[in-house]
Order: sequence, then structure tokens, then C-alpha cells
Amino acid sequence: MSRALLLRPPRRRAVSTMIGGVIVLSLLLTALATVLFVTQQYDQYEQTVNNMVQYNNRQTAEDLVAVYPGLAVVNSTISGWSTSQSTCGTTTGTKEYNCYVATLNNPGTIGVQIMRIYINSTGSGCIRNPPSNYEQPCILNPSGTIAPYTFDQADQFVNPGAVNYQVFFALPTGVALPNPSPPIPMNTIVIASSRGNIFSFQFPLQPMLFGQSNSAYSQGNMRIAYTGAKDSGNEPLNGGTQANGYCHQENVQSYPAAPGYAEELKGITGYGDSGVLWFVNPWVTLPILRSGATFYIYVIVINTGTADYSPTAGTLDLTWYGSNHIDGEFIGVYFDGAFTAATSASQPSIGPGQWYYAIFDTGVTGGFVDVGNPPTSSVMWWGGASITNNQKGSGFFSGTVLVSGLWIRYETGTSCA
Amino acid sequence: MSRRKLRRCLAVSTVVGNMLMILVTLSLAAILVAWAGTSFGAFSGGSQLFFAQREQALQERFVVEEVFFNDTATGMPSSQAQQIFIFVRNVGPININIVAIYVNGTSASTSSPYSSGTTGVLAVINSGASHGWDSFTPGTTNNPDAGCLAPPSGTSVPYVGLTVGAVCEFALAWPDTISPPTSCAPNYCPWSTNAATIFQIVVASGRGNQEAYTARAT
Repeated sequence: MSRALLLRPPRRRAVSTMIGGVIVLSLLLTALATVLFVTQQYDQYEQTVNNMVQYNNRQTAEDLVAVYPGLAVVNSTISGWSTSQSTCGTTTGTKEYNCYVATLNNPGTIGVQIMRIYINSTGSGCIRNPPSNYEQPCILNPSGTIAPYTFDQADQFVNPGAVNYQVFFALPTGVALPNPSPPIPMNTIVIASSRGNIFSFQFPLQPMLFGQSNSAYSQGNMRIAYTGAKDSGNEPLNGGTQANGYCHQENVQSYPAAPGYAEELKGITGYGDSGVLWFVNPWVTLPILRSGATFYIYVIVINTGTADYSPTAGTLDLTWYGSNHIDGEFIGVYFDGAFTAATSASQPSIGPGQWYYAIFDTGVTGGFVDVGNPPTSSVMWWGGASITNNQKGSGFFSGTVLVSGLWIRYETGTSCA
Repeated sequence: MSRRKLRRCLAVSTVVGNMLMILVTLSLAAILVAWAGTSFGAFSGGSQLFFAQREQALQERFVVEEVFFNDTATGMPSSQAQQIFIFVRNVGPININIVAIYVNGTSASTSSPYSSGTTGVLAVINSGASHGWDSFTPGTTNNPDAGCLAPPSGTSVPYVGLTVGAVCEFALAWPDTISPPTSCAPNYCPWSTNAATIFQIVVASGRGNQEAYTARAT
């Protein structure tokens, strides 16, 4: 082949190469554009995934915890919301709403926006209007101006780490907390956040004692038992049947009790207290502690009524009559970090849902004498089987004892709501 | 044939052949490009739709805030004398549609699944408008929410829209008496019979998300 032929450019192959190149290039560009487009879509999707993962993290980081006393009645002006003191009432004025304040901690790492508060177990408190007339939970929405079924809009945001943060809310005067209708006064407060979390607590707030909630030592109606005869005619508001070995659970009483109400039990054979006993409605739930050589009885009393009251006097009798029962004189209360003696002129006022230690001095400095088990004399006792089964012997109070369903007996019987 | 004539014939056939080859090549290339473009277009369009739907489904967040069992309604027929109130809030960044609510595995948002002349109906209490799910007249309410939207009129499939942050209250009528009591299946017995005190409630959205809630009737 000649040199000139070898150096001549391949014109025909250039055309076909160009055409092929254009085709291949167009295909590659189309594929590249498609891949870029899909990648962009995927990237956008991944951004959304990332956003929602962060959303989930923020949702998980939310936390709200109710702290003692959970709820409290407000009778005064609420800054920025209730400018008139008469709105929420005073002790002497006519109030327009029942106002409460919820005390919350935010132990989470992110702020919480409260969107709505539900209050369950309000009985007939929250009725939807006719024609249906059906109950519903009390539903509280945020509002800048005070109105029934609202909470203060200014309290809607709870900062992270907030302690004893207060959320004010208002209910109609016909709705009181704790609700008087259920046999066991208890409301469930449900707080819904903007991120979809639900936080709830019960009111009256259940005290945590020795790491246990109230459910550990139960709550229920008072149980009364006799080994002697019981005259139902002398036990008003109770009913029941007269019998030996009678044991029954107290009927549900109207709640809250009428002012000064106390159930009177008369004619209890063998009980040397002029034949009269008084049971009043503060809920007594706990425990008996030993302090040094003298036995003091500490009882946690929750005010489950709807009004304030001040404990002033009383006695506590735990077991059977006679010289071997354990009783104590009320010597004072431990409330809000301070002890107030019963002899003090100024007693603390216990609000609804608040609890305190009622302290009784048994005067006992030594062991107890076994009087036999079961006892043979007429017996009356309070509380659950744990008391009756373990009440003999000096070992009983060697440690902390949980008492179930214990009730206080006030000599006057008139000072409780 | 002379060499000259032969060379002319060869030249013509070479040009025609080349043109034919180019034509064939271009045609195939055009088909290939068209096919590739269609395929890539379909792929990209499908992926766009796929990712868009996945995004929207992923962004949906709704929660059952509260379930309340009411058995004290007055002025209602026995088939509707008990109600289950279900409060659903949209806590996500996009609007959602609630298309169904299931109670104990039975859809409560369609026509009555209940026997013995009872009815199970779903109503949106506070939508402010009547629609397919309303079968009894709801009373007035003290918690209206403008973000709880009824579907447009003429919509064949009932659904309820929730705007961002809105809460809707659904009322499921429930029979309080069934005669004889043994005729009710466990999933729709009155809770007064203690036959179905535990309620498994599932709220379903139009994008396929579900929110489950278990509640015990009072």
C-alpha cells in the first residue's frame, strides 16, 4: 500500500463514527439525566426520611410529669388570664369558674407544647348538649381569655427542664375535681402534646412511698368487721345485716360528704368510747413507722374532698378494744415540709388532692402483749387482713408496715370536708 | 463488462449501500433512542411517583389522643345509646384523610355490620357538616375544630380530612341492648354484657398508615 493511501483520512468511517457517537452519547446523556433525576428524587426522599427521623427523636425526647400536688384549687387572680379575683372565686365571693392549677415538671430534653387536656371520670360533669345528652370527657382547649373548659394559652409551652411549671385551667362551677360521682374519687388528667405524645396522671396524685405507688397498698371502701353483734339500726347510711361474725364492706357514701359529715357507729359492744365512733372521709392510706422507743403512727391522709380543711384533733385506734389495742392521740401534722403541733393556734390548710402526715403518739414504749389470735372478745378493726393477721406480738412494729384502707377517727367528726 | 463500466456500477451500489446502511442505522438508533427515552421516562416518572407517595406516607403522623366510652346518653335509640368517642389528632406536617376506623377487627366506617336490628355508625361530631358517616344528628359541641373537614358533597367514599394540627372527634354508636344477648358476636356486644370490654381500635388513613389504640370500656 502506498504511503499516500495510508495517510489519507478515513472519511467514511468518520461519518459513521459521528453518527454512532451521537447515538451513544444521546443514550448516555438520557440515562445520565434519568439517573440524576432519580437520584434527586431519592435524595429528596432521604431528606424527608431524615426529617421524620428527627421528628421521631423530638417526639421521643418529650416528657411531662405531674408533681405533687398534681392539681390544686385556685381561688385568686391568675396573672394575665383571670384579672378579676371573683372569676375564680374567693372564700367569700361568688366565683364564675372552678379554677385549678396543674403542677408539671418537664424532665425531657425538648420543650412541650400542650394542645389539649382531657379529664376523665368526671361523671355527669361534662355533658354534651341536647339532643343527644351524652357524656364525654372534659375537654380543655387553650384560650387567651378565661372561659369554661379552657386552659391558659400562656401556659401552653413547657420549656425543657422546667420544674414546678404551672398550667392554669378553668371548669364550670358544676364540675369539681376530684369528681364526686365515682365511688372512689379519682380523675385521670390526660395531656396531649403537639407531637402526639400523651401524658397522664391521676388526681388526687398517688404518693410514691418507699418506691411503691398507691396501688401497692390498695384503695377502696372501708371494711368493717365484728365478731360481736352488730346493730344495723345503729349504723346509719350503711344497711347491712345483723349477724355475729358480721363482716361487710361499707356502702359507697355520697361524695363529697356533706359539711361536717361523718358516719356514726353506735352500740359497738365492748368498745369503751361511750359507744360512739366516727368515720370521716379523708382517705388514709399509709404507714406506721417506729420512731425510737416510742411508737408514733404516721398516716398519710389525702384530702379527697373538694374543699380545704384543717386537721385539728383526733385519735387513732388500730385494733381491738382493751388494754392491748394500739391507739394514739393526734399530736400534729407534717405538711409542706413543716411540723405543726395540734396545740398550735394556726393549723395548716389542706387543699383538695393534697396530703399530709397525721402523727399519732401511741404512748407505747415497749412490746405488745399477745391477747390471743383470734381474739375472744368483741372486736372491731379497720383495714385489711394484714393488720388483723399480724397485730399480735412485739415484732409487728419492728419495721415499716403498710396499712391498707385505714381510716381516721376524729373525736369531733366535724372538721373534715 | 469493461473495467470502467464495472467501476461505475460498483460506485453506485456502494453509495446506495452506504445510504441504506445509514438509513437502517439511523432508524434503529431512532427506535433505540425512543425506546430508551420512554423507558427512562417511565422509570423516572415511576420513581418520582413512588418517592412522592412514600414521602407523603412517611410524613403522616396522627395519634389517637383519647377514647371515651359513654353509656348514659338519653333520647337515643337503643341501637345508638352507647357511644365510643375517638379523638384523633393530626400531628404531622401534612394534611391527612381518615378513611376507616376498625373496632375489634370490624370496620365501623361502612354500613352497619351489626345484627339484630342494631346499627353501627360512625359520625364526625365536630366537622360542622353532614356527610356519609353522619347517620344521627350530633349535638352541639364545646370543642369544635375547624380543621376537621368533611369530604366534598357527592363523594362516594366517605373520609374525613384533618388539617395540620387539627383534632377530630369520631363518635361510634354502639348498641346497649341486643336481644337475645347471646346473639351478639364478641366484637360488637354491648360492653354492659362484659362480652367485649376490651376494644381494639384501629384508625386508618388514606395513605395506608394506621394508628392502633387499645382501651377497656368502663
